[in-house]
Amino acid sequence: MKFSSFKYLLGQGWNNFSGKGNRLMSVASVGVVTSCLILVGVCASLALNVNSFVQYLGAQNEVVIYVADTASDAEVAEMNAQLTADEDIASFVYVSKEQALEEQMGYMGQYASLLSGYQGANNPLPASFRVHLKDLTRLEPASMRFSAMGGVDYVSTPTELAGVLIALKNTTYYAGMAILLILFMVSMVVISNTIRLTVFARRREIGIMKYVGATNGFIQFPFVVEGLIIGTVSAFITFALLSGGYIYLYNYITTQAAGFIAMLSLCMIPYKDIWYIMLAGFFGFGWFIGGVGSALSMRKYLKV
Amino acid sequence: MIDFKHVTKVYEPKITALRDVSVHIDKGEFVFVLGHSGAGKSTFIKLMLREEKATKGEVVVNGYNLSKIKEKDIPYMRRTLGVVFQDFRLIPNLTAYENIAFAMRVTNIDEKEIKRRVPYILNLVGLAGKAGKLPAQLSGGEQQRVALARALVHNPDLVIADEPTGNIDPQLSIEIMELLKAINSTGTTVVVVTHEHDLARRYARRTIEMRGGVIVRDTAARGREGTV
Ligand SMILES: Nc1ncnc2c1ncn2[C@@H]1O[C@H](COP(=O)(O)OP(=O)(O)OP(=O)(O)O)[C@@H](O)[C@H]1O
Ligand SMILES: [Mg+2]
Repeated sequence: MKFSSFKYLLGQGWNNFSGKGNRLMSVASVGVVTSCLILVGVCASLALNVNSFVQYLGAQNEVVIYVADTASDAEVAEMNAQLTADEDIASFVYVSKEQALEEQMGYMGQYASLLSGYQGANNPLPASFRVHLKDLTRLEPASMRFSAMGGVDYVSTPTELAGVLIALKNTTYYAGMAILLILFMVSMVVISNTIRLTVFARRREIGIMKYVGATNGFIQFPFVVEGLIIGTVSAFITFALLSGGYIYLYNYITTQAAGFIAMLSLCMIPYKDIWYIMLAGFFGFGWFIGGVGSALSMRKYLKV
Repeated sequence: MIDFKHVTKVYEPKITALRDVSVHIDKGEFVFVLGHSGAGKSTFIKLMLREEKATKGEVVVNGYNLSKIKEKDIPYMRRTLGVVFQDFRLIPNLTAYENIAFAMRVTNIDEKEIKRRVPYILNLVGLAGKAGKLPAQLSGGEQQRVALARALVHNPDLVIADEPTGNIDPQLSIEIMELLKAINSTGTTVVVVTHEHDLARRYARRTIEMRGGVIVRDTAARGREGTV
């Protein structure tokens, strides 16, 4: 395509968006799409933070792999190697029988001497690996792997908590997806209806374009541009609004809040780690519905 | 060049607008297509533009077989011909100049070529002085000349006019017909559809008469194949 044609088509697209008769519709559809994007953004940041919360809680809980007293040194070394290579593990420490006893004596404080008879060969406490998983939702497969290692007595897992967290994560995920899908369709319908109105207003021109031999791509281009402009403007407004809101909330939680809410500050994702996800999400969403919505609204008029 | 071979057009559910029409129009001919309302004249044209597809038979226009043409080739086929309608079909908020430039712009012609060619064509149709006027500021005849100028932007091999004089008074229709004759004299095929017998008679050119979807008379039929 020639550059002058390209410029012309962009101009036509801009005209579709901002031209006298279309301004009101454009504002209306930017309004609706922005509202949808805001909802999407709120849901998505909520979901991301729930995720972060789940990970935070997960990291506080450890899986303990108790080593059988009968396990050989070679088996322990092998366990160590396997755990080192395990993808699901964030960190782990080995606690020997002696360390376990010492720890126990530490807890007992002044009564520690009661345990003095259990030293050496009499030590009843098992050696163990204390493991932090990267993601507690991976608890089940990970603990199965741990149990299967040679020389393991048994594996103690925070199963109940994991169940709750997994449920929380799944609920956010599916609810988020459902909301996303609905908003996605609402935005798509709104954009394609707005463009359908422009197309209708321009049906004469479209007819003439066809008679003089304009290609479908050429005819469609300005309407796709119009859709993309609606998507871009909406994405931009949403990004500005939600960035402001997020920063405000983050500052409030990390500095002002007390009690349980203050605890959230430990796992709320800082703005600097989330802004690019928002940006990419809003523009991706905006452009996609803008582009596809306009293409959909054109289909009927291209048949001739 | 236009070639219809046993062409039937049925509009669903069951209106047969053309029935087994075979006709050949050579490059450089000037042809009237004559017939009463509902005879099938516009259908005949729509098939040439591939606005409609033949139900049966084969239509070939300017070397494109319209029964087999791919969707994406249709625009390029249309650039080899120019069309004029009874209702002009100008864009009301564009000047005469812009209406013509529009047809070039939307077919990917660059601005330099547009600036060169539009004044030339406007001059050709005798509207050099009216380039800046909106359609509403022009007479019917002038509007039709703008439409004709627009049909000429791609330097077509074939100009098709559906009732080009239907909406303008007799004096002005003569102007349009003279222009079409002039265009024809440069070697462009011209097909004029009309229901005015007088018009066809006055210009004494090949006349194809249609009635009820069939060709009932073709003054060039003698010595030609396939027609009545
Ligand atoms: N899109 C359509 N759908 C159904 N029937 C149609 C359609 N277009 C035309 N017809 C019918 O086909 C027949 C031929 O119509 P056509 O428009 O070709 O006639 P015409 O000779 O151009 O008439 P006029 O002089 O009134 O323009 C008519 O009976 C008309 O009602
Ligand atoms: Mg007609």
